[in-house]
Amino acid sequence: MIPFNFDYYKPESAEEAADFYRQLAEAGKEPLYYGGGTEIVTFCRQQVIKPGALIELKEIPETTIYETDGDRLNLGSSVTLSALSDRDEYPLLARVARRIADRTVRNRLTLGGNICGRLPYREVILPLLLAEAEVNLTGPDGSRSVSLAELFDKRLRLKEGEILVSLNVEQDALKQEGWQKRREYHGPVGYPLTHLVCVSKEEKLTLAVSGLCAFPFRSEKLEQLINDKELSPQEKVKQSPDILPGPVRSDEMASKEYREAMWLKDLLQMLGEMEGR
Amino acid sequence: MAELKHVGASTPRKDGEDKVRGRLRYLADKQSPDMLHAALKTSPHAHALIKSINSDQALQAPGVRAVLTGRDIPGNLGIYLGDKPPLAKKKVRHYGEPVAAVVADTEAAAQAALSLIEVDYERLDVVHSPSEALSKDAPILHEDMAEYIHIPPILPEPGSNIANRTKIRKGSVEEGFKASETVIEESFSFPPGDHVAMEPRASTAEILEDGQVVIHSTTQAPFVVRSLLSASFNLPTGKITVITGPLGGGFGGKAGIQLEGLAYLLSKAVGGRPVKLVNSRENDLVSSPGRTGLEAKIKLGCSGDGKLQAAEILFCFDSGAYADYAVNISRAAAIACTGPYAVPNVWCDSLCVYTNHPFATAYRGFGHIELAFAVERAVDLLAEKGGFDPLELRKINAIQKGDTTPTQSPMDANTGDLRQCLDNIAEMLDWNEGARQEQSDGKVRTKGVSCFWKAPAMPTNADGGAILTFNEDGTVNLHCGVIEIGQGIKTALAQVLAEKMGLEPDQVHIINEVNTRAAPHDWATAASRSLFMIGRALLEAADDAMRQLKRTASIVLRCPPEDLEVSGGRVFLADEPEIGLPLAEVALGYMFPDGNAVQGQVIGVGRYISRRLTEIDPESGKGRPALEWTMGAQGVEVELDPADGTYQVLKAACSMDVGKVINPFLARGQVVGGMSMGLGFAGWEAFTFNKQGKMVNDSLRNYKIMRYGEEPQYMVKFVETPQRDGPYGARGLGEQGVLGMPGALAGALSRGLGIQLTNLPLTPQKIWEAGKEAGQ
Repeated sequence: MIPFNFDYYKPESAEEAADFYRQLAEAGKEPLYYGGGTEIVTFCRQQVIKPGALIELKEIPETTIYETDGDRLNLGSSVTLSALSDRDEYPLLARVARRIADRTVRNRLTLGGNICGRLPYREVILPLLLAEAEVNLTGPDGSRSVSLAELFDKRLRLKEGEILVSLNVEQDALKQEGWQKRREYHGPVGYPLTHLVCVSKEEKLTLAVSGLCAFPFRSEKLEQLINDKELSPQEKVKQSPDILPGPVRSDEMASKEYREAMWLKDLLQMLGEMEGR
Repeated sequence: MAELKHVGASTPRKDGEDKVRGRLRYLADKQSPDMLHAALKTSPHAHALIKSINSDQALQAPGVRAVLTGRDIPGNLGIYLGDKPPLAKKKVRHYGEPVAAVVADTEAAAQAALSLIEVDYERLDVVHSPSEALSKDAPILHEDMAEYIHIPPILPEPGSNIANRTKIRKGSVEEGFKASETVIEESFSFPPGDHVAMEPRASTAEILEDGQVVIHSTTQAPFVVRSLLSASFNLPTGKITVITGPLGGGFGGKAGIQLEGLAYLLSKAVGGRPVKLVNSRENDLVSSPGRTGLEAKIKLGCSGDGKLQAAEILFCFDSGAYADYAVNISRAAAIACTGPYAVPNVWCDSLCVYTNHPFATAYRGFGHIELAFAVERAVDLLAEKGGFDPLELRKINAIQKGDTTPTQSPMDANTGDLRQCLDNIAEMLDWNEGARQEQSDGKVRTKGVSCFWKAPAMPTNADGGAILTFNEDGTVNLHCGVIEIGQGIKTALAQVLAEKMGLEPDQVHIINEVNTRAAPHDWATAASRSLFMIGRALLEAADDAMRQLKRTASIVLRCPPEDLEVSGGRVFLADEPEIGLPLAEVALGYMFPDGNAVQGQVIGVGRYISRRLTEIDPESGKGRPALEWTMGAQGVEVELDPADGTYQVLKAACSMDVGKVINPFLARGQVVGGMSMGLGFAGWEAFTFNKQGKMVNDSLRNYKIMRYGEEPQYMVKFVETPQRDGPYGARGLGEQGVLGMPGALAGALSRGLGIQLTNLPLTPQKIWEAGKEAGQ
């Protein structure tokens, strides 16, 4: 159980939420935004965190949308992973969402929570990085829209009190066929050892990766390497570990050596299967 | 023999509907108005001195009634060896060991107060494995071992980390190896893990004004709890009542003594008010005991014809920080150390070793799943070296009537037909079509086979009883001390009784709760012996009740009682069945039309105590500790990708000789459940520790168990060589489903990879590493 009391706020808009946050933070209440709540509940139960207030996001209308608007798809941050899995407007995102946790948990997990939480996997961001999505934020200083690529560096660089309200994805990114490979310690349900998502765009391969390093990434250097026409696939794969944006992760699920070996294998398979696409 | 009507039928579980509709109440659901709640503060270190504990702030926290630490509690608890303080005293010996307990008005208040307790630790060197514990300069984890109270069959070695050593010396292994054309020698190992029962452990304790101690507990062994509380805290047994309702799974983890001792002490600290202690999942995984790990070394030899000649075995069980049941687990493993094979010469030392891991208690299989992994791997290695088919080699050596066990006890006429079981596995898995096939996609389809056996590891005087009382409508109440832990025992016993008395199963009422003051004594619901022993007691009670029913009826029907029969809810003349009385008119005494009443209520009483069991000799292991052996064979078919070590278990098969299947549906359920648990044990369920000995997968986010959708195709086929002294020929089967799975899975994967795998868990990484090491 969560053995302490906390205040629970239900704002009706993103602005109101950001305002609550500012006030509560100033009052020393250590507020947290509350999406699906799976991480918050675990950490509160274990008494690792002790927020004085939780600010509910799921009832804010702007965060619950999943709709096509002209040539863009708007995805609200409170949309659950189950909802993402079930919709066919954005098949690659659905495919990725479907691999995270299990259905029962996906009914709670939200797009925003998966991206902004504490766990380092953030797998829904993989197709979004490749789609060059735009993020819409609202904070104590107001609202802004920024490209995801600009804002994401190991994690989403939100300002204090800022809320990820929604993301926009261009139509032409939605129908792209992706290549995906995810490994677990023991599947199919579990955190990723490695998770690769690849999309071909204008005859160039784009790649986003989670689980391999301590953070998910899309790397320009890596994409230059894998698109280098002078190199054979084997050579590309061989050089890849040297240009990763961080060391290969070693943890209780897998050693660094195994992860790296699986990365090399999967990258080679990806290059083979994506050839000519 | 007449056709059986209820024994052998898949009678629906009596508690099934209530369970699945959420109507059944478990201990954590129960409340009482004056109840207080407890929470435990646990150690973040695997091995450390406790320099100081400051509870002052916690005592001031709202709602807090008491805070206890090890200082407040004299003495140790223990089932066989008194080595565990209910709260750590001078030091902590494992990650998650409880160091303080808070009692408060609410669960939230108790938990909130935990962070206010300040503990100052000084870290000590951590012992990570049995071999480390046995090495020359290992830290001694139990410095006071010489002072521990223990039962005579347990032989601790003070000055070391050995809590027990059991010896088997049968024949001469020197001679045996001389006669062996093929000899293998190999080491095997795996880390500890957990039961992960759906229901975490809980206990409440209350001390009444007259000194009576009332315990409610999620225990598989209420009578063991009673006697251990009595011994540990100097309380008369007659003043202790233990009450247990149905459990949400036990798997051995709820046998012995768990939270009850601490709950009692907490109640005592608050003047006897009821105190409730419920494990969080994390506490249940780490602070409460799990299962043993093992390091084993086996040398096995066979002659040119494949007949086993000698086995030299060393088992070092990783008991973790405390011995609990593990001293008996290591002993049980020695008693059964060869697996179900006829081996004329056996040398075995089976050690229970302390480490700084979370400690272990009874786990499904009780040493037999552990030994089976090592022995089955050894048999596979021997088959490979000697050029034998692994299934054939097992058939050649299958133990039979007349052969002796490692304790030199002859197998009797009730011995199961292991060869038939192996034939069944061969058929179910198409063994003869080939055990290894390479596919075009680079994956390999392989099969693995194993054998297993187990006898209950219990005291020589383990017993049980049954009492039958009747209701006005002629239905029967079945009183016994067996706990329903999900195995369906009460339904099976109801079937046995229905068969015996010619009733319908719904005319037999079971009682969900066991109260030690009311129920007949029962050793424990463990060791897969409840059906056998309580079935026997029940048959005796039924005979007793039927005798009484006939006696009453004979007065009314004016005939000799021996001319009567009891069946179909009536007592009637065997030769003139229409002359008779319904049970309803007889069971509570008979009243004549003029008002005279005769005989009174029928109360059937039966008991069963283990027959002719002995302890084993401390030097040779010679003795007769086993009541009955249930043995069988298992196999798996696996698809393996050697390039990355990933695999899928496609089929899992089990053929077991159970004497008589009482309820096919429940029996299959038990076996399939065991197989899924055994696959987890082999493939992915294991505690993982960091360099400081802290457990890093201490929650279900990271400790993985099998899920629906993952399961292989299960195939189960029973063999019925009667257990002549069992009820309707039945012998135990509850645990056996787990036993052979690690050996079968490791065998299949080894065959697929072309390299013998010798330790668990069989993760893709481990398989891949083995391949790399061998230069693939």
